[in-house]
Amino acid sequence: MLQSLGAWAVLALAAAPLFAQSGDAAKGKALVESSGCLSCHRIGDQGSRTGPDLSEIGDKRTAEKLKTSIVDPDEEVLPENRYVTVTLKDGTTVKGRILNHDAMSVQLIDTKQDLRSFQTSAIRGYTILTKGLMPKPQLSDEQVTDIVAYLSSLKGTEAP
Amino acid sequence: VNLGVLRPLVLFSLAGLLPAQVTPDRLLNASHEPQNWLTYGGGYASQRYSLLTQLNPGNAKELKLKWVYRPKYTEKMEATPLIVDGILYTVQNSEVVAMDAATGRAFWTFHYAVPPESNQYVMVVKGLAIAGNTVFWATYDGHLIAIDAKTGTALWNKVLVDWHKGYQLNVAPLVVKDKIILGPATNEEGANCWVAAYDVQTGKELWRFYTAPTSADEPAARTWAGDSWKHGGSPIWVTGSYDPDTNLTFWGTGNPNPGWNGDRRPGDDLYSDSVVALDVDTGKLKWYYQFTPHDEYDWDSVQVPVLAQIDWQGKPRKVMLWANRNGFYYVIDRTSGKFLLGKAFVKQTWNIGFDEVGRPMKAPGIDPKPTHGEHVLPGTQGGTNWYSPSFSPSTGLFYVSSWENYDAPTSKGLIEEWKEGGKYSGNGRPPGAPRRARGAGRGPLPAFKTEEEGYGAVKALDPATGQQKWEFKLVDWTESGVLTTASDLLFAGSKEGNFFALNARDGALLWHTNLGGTVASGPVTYLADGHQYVVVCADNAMYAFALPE
Repeated sequence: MLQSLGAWAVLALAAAPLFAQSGDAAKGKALVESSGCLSCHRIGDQGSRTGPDLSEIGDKRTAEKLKTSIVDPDEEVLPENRYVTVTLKDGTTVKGRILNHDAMSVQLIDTKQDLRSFQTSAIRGYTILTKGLMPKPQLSDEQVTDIVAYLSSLKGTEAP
Repeated sequence: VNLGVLRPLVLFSLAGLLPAQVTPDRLLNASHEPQNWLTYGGGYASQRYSLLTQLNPGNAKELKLKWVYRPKYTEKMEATPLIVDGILYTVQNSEVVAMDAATGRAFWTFHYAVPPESNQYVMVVKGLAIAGNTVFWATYDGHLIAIDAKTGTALWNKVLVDWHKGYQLNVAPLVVKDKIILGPATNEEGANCWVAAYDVQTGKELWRFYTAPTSADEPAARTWAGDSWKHGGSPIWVTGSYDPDTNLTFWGTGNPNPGWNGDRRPGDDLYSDSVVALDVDTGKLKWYYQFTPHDEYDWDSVQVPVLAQIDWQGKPRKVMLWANRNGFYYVIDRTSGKFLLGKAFVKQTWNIGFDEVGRPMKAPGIDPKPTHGEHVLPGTQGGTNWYSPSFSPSTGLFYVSSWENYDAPTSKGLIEEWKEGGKYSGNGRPPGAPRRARGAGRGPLPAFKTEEEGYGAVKALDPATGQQKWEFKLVDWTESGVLTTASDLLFAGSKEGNFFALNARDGALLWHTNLGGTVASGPVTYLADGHQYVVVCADNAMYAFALPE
């Protein structure tokens, strides 16, 4: 479910602590860690790199935006969090988060967290996905509030 | 007299002096010297079409890098180089260089310190001109400098405009007969601009045609409300063309000032966003056509006029081909100025048609609003901009770099009080209003955006109908000029950093390389030591390609 947790949205630099403060961040952390969210998302040195990194999401998005990203993940998806499906000439497909593309090639990080690059001349085509990147989670309002409280607390750490 | 001794001296003199003399006749027939590139547009018709065929669709994939020239300045290179009998001349920021076109090694450099404070945007120069043994450089800070093509020393240095008054020189001059023709630009500073001719020997001004009025008595002043003509701008950003049959030179003009708010200047605002046809000997206006009357979108008509003879309704006709920043492709009779065709070459929403004389009919409801108004297509950067297009007599097609599916919210702000040398854009923020996000309205970064969110493309158009024959899609926008050859090759580049060769007949990709920086100039081709080269600038470097030895 929390593979749904999208930072898939617009940067909003101002924090909105009131909503976040009403939840239990510790419960939210437990939910994130137990619910498979980290199979796509990364927080600190835990989790997958295939989805948006949430390590500093509390600095980047308001609590309101975080809530929307959880309950309605298609509402707003940042372009840099889009996925791309590449279809090779033998018909197989490769899916991953788009990192770059131009007229001649496309670069992505695939679901195995491998960095991949494809010449457009060597593939049948590719499609950039802007919707349906994660399912809507089955969460109670209280659980959502707890998760938002936890995410809002993620401010990152200073680089060594 | 020992003729055996003298003969080598005579031959040396001929070889050393005559070939480098770029006579008016050579300039007139520049397109018949495909080994050279003698004017900004590759000839007075500005077709950017070369008769060279050593490179062709069969061997283009073998192109290899031959040399790189990297000036010491960091601005992107927008200049089109000149090539004269094996010597390549180009310019960047404060320096002109002459180099061996086969090796990229410099013969000389000429330095003139352009004051950085004269730079209102990016210190770019579109190129040089040559006549006789003299190279002409119009500097950003308003000087016209004549440089000895053999030694790189200045012959004379004239101040044409005062940059403190909101002027700059950006264009590659156009030499016709005994005249150097060019004009100044103003970057939204309300300085009224002009096209003028200067004597090639002395730099003395011979005539001047104002593109924005200088007197209430001028007919053009009546197209501006009140005295708004006094700060009308209408800059010259790119080089014009010349038709020897009519002795007319054609120049595109930029937007009126204040650019994004026309409330103070109701009317058509002549001669902004127009093409003006001027007699080369006198500077008198023969005709004009205004592409965007009363512009509030910054749709400069600063495209290069491409002159061609095409089949028009069953008869050959001398025309001007023009893909405009406002998203429309035009065909104009270049002798009379008659409007023949206007057809959108990208998606557009501002125009619902033309009247019988070619005046556009604006769609209702798209005028700029005080803040974040209706979206209009094309957006401010337009369907194309100053990037040189190409016409190939071989394929019979017109080629243009374009921005497709591109929109931006229109908006207009406060009109600043005009102050000499200050901004006069009509885009000022009301007191207390939040600062606009940089790049707002241009959509997601190219690395992630979809085709529906806009893309760059090289488009091939039927010149007589404007019908698109093919397009080569890019992801990012493009600022590249286009080059075509008699072997039906097309060269162009992109902001993505790619430089590529296409089949000019169908747009098929034949070869490409990643140069790692924006291609913002027009590629050119020439012969050196018997080999055909193609050179292009990307970011702040120039790259030369040829077939392996």
